[in-house]
Amino acid sequence: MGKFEQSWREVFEGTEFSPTDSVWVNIDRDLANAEGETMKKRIVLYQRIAAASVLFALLIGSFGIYRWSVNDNQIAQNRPLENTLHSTVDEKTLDKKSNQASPTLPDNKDELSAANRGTESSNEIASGKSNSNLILNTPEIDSKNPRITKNRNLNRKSTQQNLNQHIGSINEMADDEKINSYREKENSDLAFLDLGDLELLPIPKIHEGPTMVEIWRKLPAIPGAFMVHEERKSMHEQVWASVTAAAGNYNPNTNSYSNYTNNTASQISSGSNASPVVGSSYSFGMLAGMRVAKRVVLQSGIQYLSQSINSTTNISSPNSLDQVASSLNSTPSNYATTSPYAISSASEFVSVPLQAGYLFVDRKMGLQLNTGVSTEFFIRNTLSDPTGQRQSYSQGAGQDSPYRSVNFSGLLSSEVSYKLSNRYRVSVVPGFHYSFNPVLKSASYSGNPFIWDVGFRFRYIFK
Amino acid sequence: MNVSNTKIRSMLGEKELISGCAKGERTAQRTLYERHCRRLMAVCSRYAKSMPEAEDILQEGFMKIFSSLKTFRYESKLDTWMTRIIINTALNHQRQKLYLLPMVDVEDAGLREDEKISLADFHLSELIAIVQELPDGCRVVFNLFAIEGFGHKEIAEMLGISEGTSKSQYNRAKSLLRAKLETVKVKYGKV
Repeated sequence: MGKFEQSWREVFEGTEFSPTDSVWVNIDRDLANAEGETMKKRIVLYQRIAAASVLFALLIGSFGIYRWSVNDNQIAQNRPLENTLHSTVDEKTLDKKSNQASPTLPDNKDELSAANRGTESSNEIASGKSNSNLILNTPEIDSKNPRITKNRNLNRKSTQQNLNQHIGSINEMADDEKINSYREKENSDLAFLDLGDLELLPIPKIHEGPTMVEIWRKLPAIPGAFMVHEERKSMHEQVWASVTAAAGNYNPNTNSYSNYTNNTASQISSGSNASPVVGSSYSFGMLAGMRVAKRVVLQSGIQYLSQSINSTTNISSPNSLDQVASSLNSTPSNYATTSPYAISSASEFVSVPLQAGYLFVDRKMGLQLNTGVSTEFFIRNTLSDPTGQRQSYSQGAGQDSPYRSVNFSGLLSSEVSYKLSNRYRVSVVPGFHYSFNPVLKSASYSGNPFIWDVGFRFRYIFK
Repeated sequence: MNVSNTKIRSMLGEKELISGCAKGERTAQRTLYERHCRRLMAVCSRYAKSMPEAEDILQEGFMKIFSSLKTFRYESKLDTWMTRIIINTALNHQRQKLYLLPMVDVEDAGLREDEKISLADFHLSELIAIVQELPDGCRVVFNLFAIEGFGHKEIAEMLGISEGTSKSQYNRAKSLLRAKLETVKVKYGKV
């Protein structure tokens, strides 16, 4: 380093210049804007999650309703088909078969039940496929068909199995009485049947095209099993308790700048740079629920609700924010003004919600639409200065308070849940909370605040 | 309340301050600003062409400092780290204006330093004004080389120029500074 550089460095070493006050004011404003951007991003995220959840819930709900209606139709339409098929098989096949050949029927009920378990054969019967290979031929027919005769020995064993399955299938479709009468008939009339004389004979199908049974078979639902399962489930989850927590964005929805905090800010001169404000909200508490009908539930409980929002005001309140708070009760002209500064307002409530829910899907995955009302008891509002230059000021409920002691809100939410075990179920609850009245008593502060939030519930099932 | 806040601010240690700033606490941010703004304003004023421009750089630099404090790993001193951010901000601020061309015809002013000129004869504001009057490229290279102590190779990498260009810009700066100092000296009778 030369002498030139050394001399310059010595000159500037430890040098200080005071910037003007406007630098910090600008930095402060930029920081506030950056925080606002962050908050906006969060709010957008919450809104997107809520919208996606509602959309998802609607889709699942629509699908559930569709499946439900399809299954009902399927049951209704399957019955006559089964009867038709049953009578067709009975009349055209079994009667003929029983007159000419008789398999060795299972002698006891256990064997019969075992045969009934052969679902494959019952499916074949149901689909009409079995008509082509389960009809028994006679020795006369057999003699006219040398190919079949050639295969007689090979088919003998399978014929016996098919016959058992066939009878099992018939038994599956018939009631116990019919089974018994059929067995009696078989035992009395066909006891002499030699299985060696039985053979399969291809015959034309009863229906040329796909039968209705085939069409219904292609649908994924198994109505009987489904209905029984659902019935069993509906007997469970009668009473439960859940812990709940939710967070979202709070919109004061006022006609002035934006909310009751901004109502304080509404006293800012028109030339000030106040922008619409959206705050945040969170709640937590406990709920108890019970099932009052197969698909209807009731839930209630107690929750702590906090709504906070950042804003600005120009009411001069040098040491504490008491002046800003008290200005909500009187006319703005009584208060000295200053350059706008940021304030933060947080309102706290105890909320008692009462909700009715309709269960669209009540399985391991659940989908429920909740609607109801909430009574909110005001605890206090705290105004604070984010810069810490002014003392915070809190005021509670009461006659002198500018805040209403009790508020009422409407609730609407969807609840997508997952059953972890017999005792536990977790759910995500995107919801909408709309106040029926403004939080402030004064008529000059109109506007009904609302909340979009996403909640989480952890449910313990008592029975 | 203001008094107690001031007390609290002065009591805050560097780690608490950094932690508070990283959490977005305005009190901590204000305290950090108040502790460092004058020193960093001096840095900005050397790189800027005017004081308002220096304040713009300071403002932009502090925003970067506040947003980057979460990533501060205590691997260097906070002062050094902040100064580096301010210098980078100043360079970015100037980048659009920098058209650095090699000046091969400029003699190495360092070879014929005039011993008669002493910077001690000048007021600080005069010296700052002289530096601010330098062309943008010369001013940046002069600050980086003579005051911050970067080598020409580092400067070349920082500014995306050749080492030769950095050297010639610096020689040009020295030449101009000497001329300006002599002018001021004559003007105000400091001979």
